[in-house]
Amino acid sequence: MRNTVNAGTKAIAVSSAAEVRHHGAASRWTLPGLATPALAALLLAACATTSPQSESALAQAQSEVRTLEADPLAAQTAGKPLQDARDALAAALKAQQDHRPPEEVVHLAYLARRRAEIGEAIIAETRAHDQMNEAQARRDQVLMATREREAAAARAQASSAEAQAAAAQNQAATARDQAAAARDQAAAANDQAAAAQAQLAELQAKQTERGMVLTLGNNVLFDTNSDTLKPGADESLNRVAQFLQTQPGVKVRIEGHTDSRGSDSYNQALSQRRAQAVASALMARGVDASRVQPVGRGMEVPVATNDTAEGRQQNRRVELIFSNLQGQFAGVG
Amino acid sequence: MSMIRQVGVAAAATLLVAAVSCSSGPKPTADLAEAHTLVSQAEQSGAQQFASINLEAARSELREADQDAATDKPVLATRLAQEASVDAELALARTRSAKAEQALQQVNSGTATLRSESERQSNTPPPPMPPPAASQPPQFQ
Repeated sequence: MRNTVNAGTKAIAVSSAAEVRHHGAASRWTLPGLATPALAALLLAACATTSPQSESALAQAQSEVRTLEADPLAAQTAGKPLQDARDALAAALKAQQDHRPPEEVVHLAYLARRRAEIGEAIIAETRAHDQMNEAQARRDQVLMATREREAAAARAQASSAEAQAAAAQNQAATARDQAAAARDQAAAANDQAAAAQAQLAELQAKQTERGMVLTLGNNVLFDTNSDTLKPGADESLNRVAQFLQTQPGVKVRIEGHTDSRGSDSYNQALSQRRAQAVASALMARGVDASRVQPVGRGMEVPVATNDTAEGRQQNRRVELIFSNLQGQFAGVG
Repeated sequence: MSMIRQVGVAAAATLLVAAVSCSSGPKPTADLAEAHTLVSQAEQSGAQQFASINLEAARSELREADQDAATDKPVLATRLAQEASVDAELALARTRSAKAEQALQQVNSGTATLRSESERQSNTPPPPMPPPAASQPPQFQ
């Protein structure tokens, strides 16, 4: 801008005398009737010539002022600069109309053009400020959305962590419960086993490698060569049946034994019948048949010498061998 | 006689008008002072950075105005001082406008950065939490 209009102003300012001389002859201005019309014309022409420079400067100024006026924000935000530019343009046009010297017209047009440009700059500033408000609102929105998103993510993470912690606690609690239940069960089983053991001990059963074994002398149970139980056996059998009823998992193997007198086959058959008699007596007292296993062992498993009367009496016996609470027999199954 | 006198008066008046209108004018002191003030303001506002062309025009015009004033050319000095003033005012206005534009662009680019970062973060899900312990609780017999 400066390079065009301003440089033009300088050129005219510097060469104003030449301009005036050059345009003086072509001036429309005359003073008819004056004695010194040529001099007057020359002097007036100094102030009254038009020039391409002033026309061009005025056109540029008008164009600039129109541009400013056309801006919808001009009246609202640049009223003063707009008025200044219009005033300046009016002054330049009036100078032209009044045939003021072209350098003055160019100067005034220059001022008008700059005034219009100042108005445009002020509008641009206002526009930037307005957009700044929107931009800040947008930025705040994005900022808020970002923070909300971060907060939501943090909340989700926290609740997931909480859920995991709760699940872990539940798992631990379950494990504790299970452990406690298992301990209780084991304790109960131990108690049961101990109780059973105690009951058997009360029955005078002995702990052996075959498990708890109750030995009943034949003289208590049977008459000689008989497989009929004597009434004196009732008390022992009642107690055994009672025990079996309190311990439903326990099975009992009933082994009949004899001394070495008599034949093998006879002793075998007799011991078998006697074991069966005991088993039947227990079943008669409510014990299920599946829990009693009568076996005749004859003379094959003596517990004492058969050479003395006392030893033979010990060998004549019925042994009740008890399983554990799960129905399993110790030693040789 | 009177005709000659009339013509003489008219010529003298015309000369006077021409001289007043073209060769002399108000003293440029006030215009120069205002131009100096405005150019200083423009310089201090950062016009060198944001409106250097307008600031340079104003400075150059002011220099010439000072020279013209010093060499007894008050009309030229006044015009150039006025031109220096409008150029300095334009430099000031454009500097303010450029600063406002710059601030606006900074906010906008900040928003764009924020938005793209935010979208990138929301597109890449957070690292998955370690799965809950898969091992069974100890079995008690």
